Amino acid sequence: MADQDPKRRRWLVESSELDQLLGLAELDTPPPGLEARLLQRLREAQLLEARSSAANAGEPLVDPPVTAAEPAHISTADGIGLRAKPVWVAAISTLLAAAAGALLWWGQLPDPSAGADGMLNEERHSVGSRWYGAAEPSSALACTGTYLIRESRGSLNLWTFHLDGTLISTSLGERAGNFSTQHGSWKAVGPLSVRAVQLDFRWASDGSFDSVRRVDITIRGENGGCDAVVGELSGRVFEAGEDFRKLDTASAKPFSDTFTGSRVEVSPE
Amino acid sequence: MQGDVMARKIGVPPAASQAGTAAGELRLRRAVAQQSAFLWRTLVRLGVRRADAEDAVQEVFLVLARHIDDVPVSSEKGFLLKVALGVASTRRRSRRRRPEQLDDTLDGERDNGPLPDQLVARLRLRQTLQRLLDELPSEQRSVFVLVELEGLTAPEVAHLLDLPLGTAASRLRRGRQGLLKAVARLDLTRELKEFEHG
Repeated sequence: MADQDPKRRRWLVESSELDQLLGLAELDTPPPGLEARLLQRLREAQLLEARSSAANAGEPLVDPPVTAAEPAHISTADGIGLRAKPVWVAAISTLLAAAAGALLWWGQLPDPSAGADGMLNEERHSVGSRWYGAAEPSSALACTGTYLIRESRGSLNLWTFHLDGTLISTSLGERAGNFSTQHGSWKAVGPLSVRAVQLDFRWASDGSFDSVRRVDITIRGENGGCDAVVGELSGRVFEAGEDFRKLDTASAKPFSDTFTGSRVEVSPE
Repeated sequence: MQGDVMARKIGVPPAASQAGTAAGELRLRRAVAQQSAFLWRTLVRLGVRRADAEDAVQEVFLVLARHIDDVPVSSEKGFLLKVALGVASTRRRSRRRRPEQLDDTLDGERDNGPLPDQLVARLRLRQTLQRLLDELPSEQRSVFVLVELEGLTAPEVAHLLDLPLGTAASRLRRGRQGLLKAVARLDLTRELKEFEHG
């Protein structure tokens, strides 16, 4: 910095005030984690540009090469995949999922005219909302759909489990807690039992990036069905320089809670 | 895109390829590691709001990413600097059009330890310095910031900005004189005392 060379500031003998003022500029330091955030944002921006260019040129959309530091499949510490699939894999998965959904719909949807109580639990669980985990199609265990989740500490969430193994959720605490909607993946691990992991971004009060929060969830259906669920969640906050894929890198104290939930369903008319 | 316009202005041909190759990616990572703090400081001192500085740095690196095959490694810092000057200029103009935007806050200071009074004094003084720098013509300001605040020599700045040495030296001299005159108009004694004693 300039102060290291006193000769450079000889001209400042005319004004000690300006000397002090310029000294203040040395307190200008970038926010912590700038480099890591830039690399991440640059990669995202390059990806968007590459997609945009390919789309304009009518070329197939292909992800740019992934560097060794960012593997295509990111395994979390507990084996639940946070997937970064190639586009063609995602496209095929979507088609298969749609086909499976269509078969289920046409083949097993009960007649709506069956009446207000026409959809018994057993039937309901065999239709579109019954869920055949994309990751393990043979397990036929969990239930897709949207659930209103009440944490025991009082927070309310809406969690939506999609057929393709993704999970999206929103929480009442997002505004007050300055964090984003949550995105993640789920996997059937037993009859009516699912494990999931979801991530969200947290912002500092000035809007800058603060941390990534990872929440690991275990959820079970009750009474042999999926209409009511219970479970546990545990969360960890990963600040800049910490890797959400490795649980032991989180320096902040983990938190945990239990919850109950019920599936959001269209009322029979 | 504005960054591409800037790249053309400084004589870099349109992007021939993306920095998608392993070598390009590696070079970009290295540039981010080596220059991001320098660019952040320089952009702030050239008048970019602190809250916007990170976006501005990203904008600069995106231009480098697009042109990385066209920029020799030896010219990389100069290239980044010239793009940064353009980005800062655009953002200053945009800021003048939207004066309602709040400037720096104390948020960035929360972990640095000083007492609240000292923080306020520091913020005021920093804003004063920013105003003084704002009064300088941009070509004087950039040379002044690089020499007086980044510690580069006048020949280094002349080389980085492709200026004759005499021009760089003259801009530096006029920048110094301009700041001395501006400070003489102000009475900073009380604020400096508050900052020193908290």
